[in-house]
Amino acid sequence: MERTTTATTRPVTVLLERPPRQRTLSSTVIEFLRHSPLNLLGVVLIALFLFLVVFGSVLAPHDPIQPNVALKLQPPSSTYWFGTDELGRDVFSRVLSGAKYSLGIAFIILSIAVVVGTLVGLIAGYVGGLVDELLMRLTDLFLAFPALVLAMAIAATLGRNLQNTVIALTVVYWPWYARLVRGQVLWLKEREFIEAARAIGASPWRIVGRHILPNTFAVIIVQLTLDVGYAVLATSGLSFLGLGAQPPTPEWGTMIAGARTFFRDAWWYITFPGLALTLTVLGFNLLGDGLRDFLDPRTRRR
Amino acid sequence: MDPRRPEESLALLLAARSGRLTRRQILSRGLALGLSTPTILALLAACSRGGETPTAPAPAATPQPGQTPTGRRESTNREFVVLFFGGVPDLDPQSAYDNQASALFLACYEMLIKLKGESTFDYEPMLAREWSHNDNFTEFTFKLPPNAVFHDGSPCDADAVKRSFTRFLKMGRGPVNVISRFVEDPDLQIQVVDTTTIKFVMTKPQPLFLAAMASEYGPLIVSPKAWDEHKTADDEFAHDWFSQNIVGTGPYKPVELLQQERFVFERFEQYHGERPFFDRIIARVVPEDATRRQLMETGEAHACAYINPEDLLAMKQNPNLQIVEYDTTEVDWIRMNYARLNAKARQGFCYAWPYQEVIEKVLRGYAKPINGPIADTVIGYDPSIPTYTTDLQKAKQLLSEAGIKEGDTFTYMYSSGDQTDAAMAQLFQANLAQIGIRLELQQVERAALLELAYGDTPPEQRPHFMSGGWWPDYNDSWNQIYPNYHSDSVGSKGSNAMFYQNPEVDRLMNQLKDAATEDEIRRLTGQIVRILTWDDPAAIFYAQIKKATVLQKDIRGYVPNPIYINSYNFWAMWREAL
Repeated sequence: MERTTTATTRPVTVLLERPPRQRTLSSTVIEFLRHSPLNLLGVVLIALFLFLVVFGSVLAPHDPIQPNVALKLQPPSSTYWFGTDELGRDVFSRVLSGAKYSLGIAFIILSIAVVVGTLVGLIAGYVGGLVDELLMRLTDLFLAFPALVLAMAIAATLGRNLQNTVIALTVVYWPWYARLVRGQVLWLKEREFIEAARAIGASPWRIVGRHILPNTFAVIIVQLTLDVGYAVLATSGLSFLGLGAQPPTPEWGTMIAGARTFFRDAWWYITFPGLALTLTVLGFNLLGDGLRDFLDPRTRRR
Repeated sequence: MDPRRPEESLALLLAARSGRLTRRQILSRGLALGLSTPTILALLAACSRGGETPTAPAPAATPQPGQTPTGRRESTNREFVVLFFGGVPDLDPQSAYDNQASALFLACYEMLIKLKGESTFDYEPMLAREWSHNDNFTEFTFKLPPNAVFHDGSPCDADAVKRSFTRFLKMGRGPVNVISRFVEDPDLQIQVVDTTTIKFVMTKPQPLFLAAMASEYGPLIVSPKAWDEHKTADDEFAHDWFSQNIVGTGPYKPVELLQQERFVFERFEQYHGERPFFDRIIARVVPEDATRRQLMETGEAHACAYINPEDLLAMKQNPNLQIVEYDTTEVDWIRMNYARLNAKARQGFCYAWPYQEVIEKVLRGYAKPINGPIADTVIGYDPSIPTYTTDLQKAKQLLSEAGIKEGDTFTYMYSSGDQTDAAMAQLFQANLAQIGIRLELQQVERAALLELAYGDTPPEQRPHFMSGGWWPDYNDSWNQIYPNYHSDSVGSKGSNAMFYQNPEVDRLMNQLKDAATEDEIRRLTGQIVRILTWDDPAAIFYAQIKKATVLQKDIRGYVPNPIYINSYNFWAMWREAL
């Protein structure tokens, strides 16, 4: 796989290996967490931010939207843990509420991209021939542009809001999954167990649905965990540029964009949303790297 | 002169002639002394004639606190670096209608006359050495220096000046209205008397002509030789060439013009006037607010007029910097879509604007409330017109009467990256949310916003609200209102971006254009402003802007002017050895 865009992932090379039958899910998870302390850190960070996606708005001690300019740019205190912004809103409440935008949007984007990409990859890889050619040239068309530039162009054309950010980034991400899945399908469909299934008269639907698709999941999951971090960054990046979430939405990128004017005199305003973004991306990168190493027999410790 | 209080009247006359008082101050003090309006107008005339026959060939720096006009201790550092926030795509001074461009032009191009010091009605020489007019303001004569040359070495005589004005008027771009209001036919109305004398003949009395000639937008003199050399069959005015090159008569000539990056000028040795202090002027384009502040604080830049209010308050504490604050003629407003909002709705929205919060907490005092599009520094300002204050109950009632229901959504567009605009928009949004109205904020690039505002997009496809602001090209209420609210100026024909079209306003504005006395100007302007603000509101007029320019502490001679906003009097500025 060639992936040469900015801030992109390293190529994922996973040699599929079916786990021993006696290993349960919980024992696998425990083994993964013990594999490296960084895995544990990644999982903890992700758990924390996933919790905020669901409960962030409920936990916010103050209204994250309603301005109160009398309290503008207050430093962190026992009332306002992360200080206040230029309109007197509590930065802590906005960071908590912002998780569902920054991280939630990234999940939506990747979910759609995975479904579309997997579907295209499966069809192209399994059917082959002209269909493969056509679908792959279409994929190449999207891959030919630098990801963020393409997303900016789409977002700017469609209009500046979060819905269009989702569309723009989905368009950018699905081709990677199409390529990835197609490669896996090409490799899998020559394997003996597929040949065997075909020999006993299994229908193409059954072969794809029961044998090929489940065997691509591991690769997709690893790629997905690596991509979540970048999708969060891209969502915030578009918002930072004014192409994504619009004020007063407490999206982290929008907050950082608003805060950069004040960073000399109100360090807290840019620091905390920046920190939230950094830790989220760090968490997913640690998990992605950990999973890749864990699933790759060449790097996995026995 | 009023015989009852001769001493005070004489003092007022002397103050008027010396240029110490503005036109408005003369008027108010005259009225306080019990002088009749004709007497005050005579005083104002005396005031403006005070600059007609200057003896000094070029101005000297106005003394500032800590400055010694004679025997000054000059620094050996003769480079001056100013900061801009964006590029200047059009360098043609007869086409660009852009504040940053005009700031550059004052280094390298010249008008015939310029505004004197902080006054908006007193003049001093720029290219012309002397000027005069007849009693009924129909003939204006300018005397040029015999040694004036353009940067390309060609002489700048009366013929060259006529050709430059002919190009400006016939090309008809950007700020042409500044002069075309007075001169429709340059061939007939501009007369070369001799090589150093040029006369402008009006078709009717035009007391504001000198004010317009001192505008930094448009009446700048370009080289006819360069025009001849670079015009083509497709571009008879060589606009493409002038938009990227500079050939004027100013004290500085261009060395490097990178329009999105920096502009470098060096002193022009053949300059006809007094030799300026700085050898080199560099204008750097720095889009980020924080970076501009940093460059000023580290001393890498020496002047910046584009610092946001929040940073200004912090920079005031820095002993290495001086902040020069000044009242301006600028009024900022939120245009309301005339085609999509009825009068009741627009009145309702005016009541929903957070006036006090914006002025105190967002603009941080660099503004004051205003009762319409005319600043209190502009002739025609009427203090009797009431000013809106926030009243959400009244807003709700009016919006309801206008047929607007709770939950209805409106759109507000502003330039991305402008944190002041973003903060104001969110406060307005919060106020409207309290009365059940949704306001959707739309950030767009500044270029896209300008294209939408000044393009031909129909009003139905424009947002409900758009932020903006304006100041006149010269001190005149018609010049402030006409491009923004006359039906002739809608869409690409002017700056009437929200298609405000009120026949009564049009009629009054047409009368105002020909008003001959200050009383008439004041009366008509008042009537127009009352309609624009209250009866059939065109915009939410939320503030008259106070500006500030930040300078390094060793810079001397800078004099701000309420009309030349964000510009510099490069010719008089210098650096003291501290």
